[in-house]
Amino acid sequence: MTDYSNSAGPKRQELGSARSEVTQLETPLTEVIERRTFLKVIGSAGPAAAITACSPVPPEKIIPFVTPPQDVIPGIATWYATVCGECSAGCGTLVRTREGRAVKIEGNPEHPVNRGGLCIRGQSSLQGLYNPDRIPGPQRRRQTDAATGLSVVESTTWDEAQPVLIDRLRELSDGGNGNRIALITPPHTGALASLISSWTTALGAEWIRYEPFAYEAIREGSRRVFGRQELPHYNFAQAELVVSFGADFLETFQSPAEFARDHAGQRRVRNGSKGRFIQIEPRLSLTGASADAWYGVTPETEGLVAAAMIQVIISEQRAQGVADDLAVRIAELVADAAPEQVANQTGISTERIRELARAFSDPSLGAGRTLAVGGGVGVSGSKATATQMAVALLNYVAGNIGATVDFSEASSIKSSRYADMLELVEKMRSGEIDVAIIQDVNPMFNMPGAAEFETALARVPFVVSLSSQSDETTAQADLLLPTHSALEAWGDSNPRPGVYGLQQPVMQPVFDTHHMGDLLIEVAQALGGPITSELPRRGGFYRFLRDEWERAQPAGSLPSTTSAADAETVIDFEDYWADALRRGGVVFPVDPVEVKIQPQLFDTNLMVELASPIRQQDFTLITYPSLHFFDGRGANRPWLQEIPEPLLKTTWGTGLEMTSSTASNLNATEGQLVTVRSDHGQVDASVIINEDLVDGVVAIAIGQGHTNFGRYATGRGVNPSLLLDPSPEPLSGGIRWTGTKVTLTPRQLIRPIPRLQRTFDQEDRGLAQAVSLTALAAGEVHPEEPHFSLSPEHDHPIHRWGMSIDLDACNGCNACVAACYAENNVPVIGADQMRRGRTMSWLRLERFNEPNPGSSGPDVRFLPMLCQHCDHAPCETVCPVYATYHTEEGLNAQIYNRCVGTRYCSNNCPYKVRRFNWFLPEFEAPLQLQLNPDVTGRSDGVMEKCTFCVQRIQDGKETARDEGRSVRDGDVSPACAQSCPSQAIVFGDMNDPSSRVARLENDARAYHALSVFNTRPAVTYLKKVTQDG
Amino acid sequence: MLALAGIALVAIGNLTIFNAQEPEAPAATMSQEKSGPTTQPIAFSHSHHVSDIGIDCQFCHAYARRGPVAGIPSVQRCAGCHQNVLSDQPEILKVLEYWENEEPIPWIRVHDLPDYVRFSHKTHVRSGVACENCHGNVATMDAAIQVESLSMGWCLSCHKDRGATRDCLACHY
Repeated sequence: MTDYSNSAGPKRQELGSARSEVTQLETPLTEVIERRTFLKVIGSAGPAAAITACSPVPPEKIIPFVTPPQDVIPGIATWYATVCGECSAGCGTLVRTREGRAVKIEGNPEHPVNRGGLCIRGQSSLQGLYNPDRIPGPQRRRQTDAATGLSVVESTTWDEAQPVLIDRLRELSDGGNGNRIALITPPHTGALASLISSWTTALGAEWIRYEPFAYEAIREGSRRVFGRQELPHYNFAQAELVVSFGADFLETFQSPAEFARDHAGQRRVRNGSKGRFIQIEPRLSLTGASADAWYGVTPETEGLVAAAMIQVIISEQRAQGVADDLAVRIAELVADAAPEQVANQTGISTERIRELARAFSDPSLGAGRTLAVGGGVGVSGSKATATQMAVALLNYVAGNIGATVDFSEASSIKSSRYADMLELVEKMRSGEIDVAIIQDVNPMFNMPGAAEFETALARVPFVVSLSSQSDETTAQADLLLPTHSALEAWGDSNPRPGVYGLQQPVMQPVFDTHHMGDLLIEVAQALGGPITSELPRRGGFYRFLRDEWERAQPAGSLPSTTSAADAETVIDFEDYWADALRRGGVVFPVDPVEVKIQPQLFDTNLMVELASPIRQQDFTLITYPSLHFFDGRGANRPWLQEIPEPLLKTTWGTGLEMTSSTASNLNATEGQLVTVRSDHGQVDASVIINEDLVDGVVAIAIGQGHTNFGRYATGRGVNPSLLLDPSPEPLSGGIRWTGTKVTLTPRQLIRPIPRLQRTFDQEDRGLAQAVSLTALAAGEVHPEEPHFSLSPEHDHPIHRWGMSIDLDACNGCNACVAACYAENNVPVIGADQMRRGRTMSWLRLERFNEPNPGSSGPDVRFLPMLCQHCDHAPCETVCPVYATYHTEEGLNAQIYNRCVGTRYCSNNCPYKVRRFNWFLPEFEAPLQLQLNPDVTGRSDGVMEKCTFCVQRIQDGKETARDEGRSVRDGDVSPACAQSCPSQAIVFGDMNDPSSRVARLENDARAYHALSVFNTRPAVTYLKKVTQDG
Repeated sequence: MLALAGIALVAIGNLTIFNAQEPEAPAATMSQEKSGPTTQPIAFSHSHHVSDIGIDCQFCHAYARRGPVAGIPSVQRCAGCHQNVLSDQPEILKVLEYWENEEPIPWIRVHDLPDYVRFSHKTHVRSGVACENCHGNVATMDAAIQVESLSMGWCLSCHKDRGATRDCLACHY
């Protein structure tokens, strides 16, 4: 296995050897030509010999179809609508395939969840599909030495492997011991969930739907307050003020692509005002970085802030739609939470809490126009449930229940609680489980280490893995039956009532894998029994899925048709199915749900539950889900490792975040290893300086520190779950991700994490600009100073492509960066190169800090930086070979085959967006199957950079030409603009005065980066809008 | 949608230059020399099919109007006629053997552009460029041979004559 960190890219010798292989095909060379001999040959035979030496091109084959598939034209993309399988959000996707391979994944604009955008993890699912560390086919463990217990894992066939499982299960079910079987899967929904449910019920087996971020406390809090053990749906689009208690809703929380879009829409400036957003948490998250103000708070006291807000709202009689007697009882619950009483414990001043409470219950907004969100992982300490109860009550007194907090669309995902998983672990440890079947979850890695899942699993005599990716858990398996990835499999998804996504395979399986549903059906049929009558006799899971959909088809219209006349028509199932496949699913209206405060709530002593723990000398550890890796599942994907984490700009690793003052107190510096000890374990982690933490807090991102998860992830970063308290939070049974006490001991070793941006200071260059809401409303515009130019003006007779990027909508989520990597075959170069400050990304997200008086933290600004396609481009004038020039359509072209690699252009570019290939890019098989055939791969010695996705421009122009019309606004969308969940990027023709991009160029917020250089970029930035005060 | 099962992976010329199996296109292809006849796996005669029988180019190269690549006829298309026509001839028996084994015929590529060139048959065919402008008078050839140099200068001379784009980015991206 390659050690990626030390591989400095492919070596030139390798290229040489590839060439000599080619030469051998033509004229077999048996002798090794030494350099001296070679020079003699050159000297004697002259130039002719030199030319023949490099001219032979091996004949290429041109392979026809045996039988041409319908609807496929070679060289033209085929798109499939399906569902993203990366997390439970159930975003709809459109997958572009070329010649039978998936090459790009994009959000489905018609899908009600994400409506076109797709997060970085979804974009990277292609690297899950083509991951070189997927399990290539069935494998079986064979003991080689009975005395020592040594064993090897050997490849086998499905015909041999499947009966092994069947025999084992038959033995147990025939003996009435079905309860000794456990199945651990992700929280599936839809047809697969109902199949698994019948399957486990028939066998009497236990089914755990394991999800590390299962939000147990929100469910339990909702149950105790409203009697509904559910995750409500948050309606960010309606919220004039969002107060988030540690919810990373723009990163991983529940449905980030959806929330990002809704939230950005609400925060757009309309009629001189815009939605406000306050984030309350101990560590500034990426979500918090978008907030108007971030209030740093002592860990596990978020609930006290919420309780104090309730206290203020009720005592000042600002509660909305709450009966008087109920208001009195709620007031009693939070009587001890007056702002004066909690300010000290929380670290937020009395005035600030009062202001926040008043803004949250502002009568001028009307009832139900604010929203409080309690974080899933962010507030999952020992107070998790009490905090969520306070947040739920806060929403209740502001009249938000049924408006911005909606139980009619509560999540349909039924995850097991962490406590349920612990019960299973206990059964495994005590020998009550004989067969454990595990699919696509990795509890070995992400359960708290002290829960000792590993030792418990070792007591299970027969462990079967159905995972597609080899990881820490599959390494323990006795039998590996790898299943399809989501892009290869039929399925459906039901993230919430009324939303049914249909998942179809977009290509043939890359490896020798089977569908999990097919496997379960075949096993059930082999075992026999009453369950077989529920299962299709042939057609496998595909038939089962169709049958389920046929049963669920509503009488009447296609769900997409809304007119009453159509509703009367009976629709044939085939049409219904085809329509659902084409659109990616169906949507039904849902009935509203009314919720009431539960009387039992008042038996709880909320203030006791919320009471702040006593501060100790130790540090408090915060662990948080990683934007890139989620619970760790994304760590073996090169894009996710390589793309810098947007807040800290770290790549290829995680470490222990601490402020510079904490570090200097410890005598530690950036990159130095520190031993982190808790009562439950210890790890060594590199110091990462992060100033945006409250005192006494250190933080580690969840997702890295893998010990056995493929070539890109293994041995990188640090796994915080090894430090966590294994006992669940008492009320909800969830993992306590936050609040573990740790001690820190610096070691005299350095292991720096590559960080791609060294300062967040703009040094007054005005790269990422902002304007206050008042100034904007007052019409204050500061036009850029016109500059005289010696360069001739360019003519753009037909099109002039341009882009506008709204810094007020950009939340730094990195989706555009991943989309660019996928679309443009941008190579991954590895940690060693990145440590030298190199990167190949055509589009990067820059982070800058400015002072923010109303906040505990800085005003964070994100600036997506890409080639500005300048009219007066400094790169063009210095290229000695005319490899870069200005096209008639306003693009700054880079012609790879002309480029000789002087790098003058890059040195002369003030935006530093040009990338030089120091090495021949390498794409480890089968990752190369993802490469976009519409974009030339670049070889070593060549400069490359953003092209505005010229291949998509060509495609848009060609489509328009085929349809006999001119290009319309919206026909062309580069990968970055298409992917943006908050729609911050707009692309179009600036020659068309009605285009969105042309209008935005004249917006009051428009400016150009580094306009002082008079480069006249085609990229217009729109200033971030800051709230006053 | 369900036609997926039938999709075979096809190697299209202009994939990428970092495919491990493919060498980097050497500079010599910039001024490609005209090729002699290539030994193809089957002694197919263009002149017989075009001149003697009168089959249109796009009957077999069916994608030329619709996509970037003209397409080599599927084995099904060959066998479709030849299961009944001359099905006892030795060269035809080879075709039928490929068909029965469900294997593609490994034709040798004759017209090969460097990997950094984006060429679309569709664009050219629809603008009225005739097949023979680039491929020569295939109607008189048995195995196809490369008649034109396919060099950039040769492309540009035609683009100049016809008033077509001469922007580098039209073909190189």
